[in-house]
Amino acid sequence: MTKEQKVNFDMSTLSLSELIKVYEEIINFLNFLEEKKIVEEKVAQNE
Amino acid sequence: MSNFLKFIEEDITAKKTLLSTMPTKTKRDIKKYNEKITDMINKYNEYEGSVKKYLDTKSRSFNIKKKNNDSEKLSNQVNSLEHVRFVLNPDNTYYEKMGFDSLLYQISNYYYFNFNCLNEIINNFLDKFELVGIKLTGNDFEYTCYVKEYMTSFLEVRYKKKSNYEEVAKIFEKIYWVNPEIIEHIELNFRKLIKKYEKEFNNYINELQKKVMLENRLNNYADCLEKLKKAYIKLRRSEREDICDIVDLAKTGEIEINNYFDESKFRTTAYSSLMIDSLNFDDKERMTNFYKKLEKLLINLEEYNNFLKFMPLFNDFKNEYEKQIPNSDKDLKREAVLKRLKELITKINNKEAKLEKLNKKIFSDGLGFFMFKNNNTIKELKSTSIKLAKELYELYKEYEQECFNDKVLSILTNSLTIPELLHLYYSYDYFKKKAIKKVFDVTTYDEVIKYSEEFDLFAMNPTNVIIKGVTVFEENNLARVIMNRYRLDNINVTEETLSSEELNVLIEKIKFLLRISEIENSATTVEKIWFMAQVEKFNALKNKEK
Repeated sequence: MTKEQKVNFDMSTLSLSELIKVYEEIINFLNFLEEKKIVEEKVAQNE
Repeated sequence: MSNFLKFIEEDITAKKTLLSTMPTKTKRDIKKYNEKITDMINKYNEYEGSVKKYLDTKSRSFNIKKKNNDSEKLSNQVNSLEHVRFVLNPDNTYYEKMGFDSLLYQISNYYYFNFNCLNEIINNFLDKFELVGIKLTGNDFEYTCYVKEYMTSFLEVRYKKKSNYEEVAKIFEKIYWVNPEIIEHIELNFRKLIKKYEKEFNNYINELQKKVMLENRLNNYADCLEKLKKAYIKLRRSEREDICDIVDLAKTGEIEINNYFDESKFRTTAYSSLMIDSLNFDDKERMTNFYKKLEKLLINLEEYNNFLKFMPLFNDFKNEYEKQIPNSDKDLKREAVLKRLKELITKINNKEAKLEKLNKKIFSDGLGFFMFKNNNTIKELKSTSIKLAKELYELYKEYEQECFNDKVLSILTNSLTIPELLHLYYSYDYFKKKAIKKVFDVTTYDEVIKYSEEFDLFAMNPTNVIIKGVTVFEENNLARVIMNRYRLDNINVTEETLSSEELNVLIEKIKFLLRISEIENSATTVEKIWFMAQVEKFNALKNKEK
């Protein structure tokens, strides 16, 4: 098992505002990742 | 991992650092880089799914079940009693009670409508006659030869229960270019028939009155008003904004829930601006009293808002009738109006008799022998009949105006109050709409109807309080009256905050404080409502993405 798979998902210890913050962090990071992807065809053309 | 938020924050930072250090120069690098991103996305999609599920469950656990406060039942009761009041209104005759004034307003403003709407108006007239057992035929529509031609084809479609009025439309088109006043003449024909069957309509209304009084256990009109007032109060209580409504408003974003937190500057300012002497928030008794007064003020302000809205209508009436206020010669003035009414009725009857004679001559042409020999004579007769109809149209308008003037004179004094004027316009739909059109300078029929409906809601409300003693012809400063009343209760209202420009801000501020009180007295908290609103926002975003 990797370290990430061991993450404890017990969210009951979080306050309501922390719960919202966690979700916003995740969503923002997902958006960040989508933006960071490099389109391979474009790179090939440039090469 | 003890804190999931901390883990996510650290993990994101680490992943961002990792990505920033990965080479992306070659195709192979990019492939590896993108694979890494895809792994991260997959992992974080898992997180997103789990957290979202948890948020939804948590949000649902905060939901409050809406109490069944019988609003629908109470609303039906009010509507039903409104109808009874309409039927029993002692100031109206069968003419208004059958809804003819309303239909005549519609048909006299026919230029607002398309052909289908016009047919609907005519069908509505015919429905009312059928309601009292009168099935009209083409022979009842002999006001002019054109009216007869049109209505005969119209009735054929109606009685055969066809829905296609195309043939009728063709006839209309043909007539219209010869006689553009055809719709006015149809109106005149209905006016004549309404007069003719007065007895039948009166009998119908009398029976209806007996029936509704029995059904509602009422002895008279005053009884009805009393019952209606109680029903209104009950309905208002049931429609009062409760905690479920507040949660819904927060979820839909109609209120900014962040303003409701204790530390919000908006909240602190709202309290301080509405209190003359600041109150201790821990003093439950004084705070409860403060909120109770705010609730009363809110009801008064909603009424005051309506008063301001229809002020131009009151001013117009004032300008129109101030000079006619009788001093000691009230009876003489009314006598003069009644005399004029009699004269007008005689004129109308004489002209209608003349028109009937003319029409008989024109219609006998249908038998055949008149047409060939006297084509020009027929043409002349038709033209005279149209001229007569035009004169009659003007006479009816004048007659109607004089009837209204008589009603006005019957109540016109220096001390005429706003509720009396509201009742007058509420009772005379035709003149109410006419005044609305003039005063508010509205250009479409729908706008007139919108104003008219708002006016009726205001005029019908038996719980109006602050306008009770306000007179039409004397100077009033209602804002000052309200201000003085509530300043005694430590509520800071000023003439400025009560001005038409500022009033809505004040109303919203009061609603805001009353919502705080409602939340504080409920099983939930501002934070929980905020949480539910946030989750709702996430859901909306997700739905948008789909």
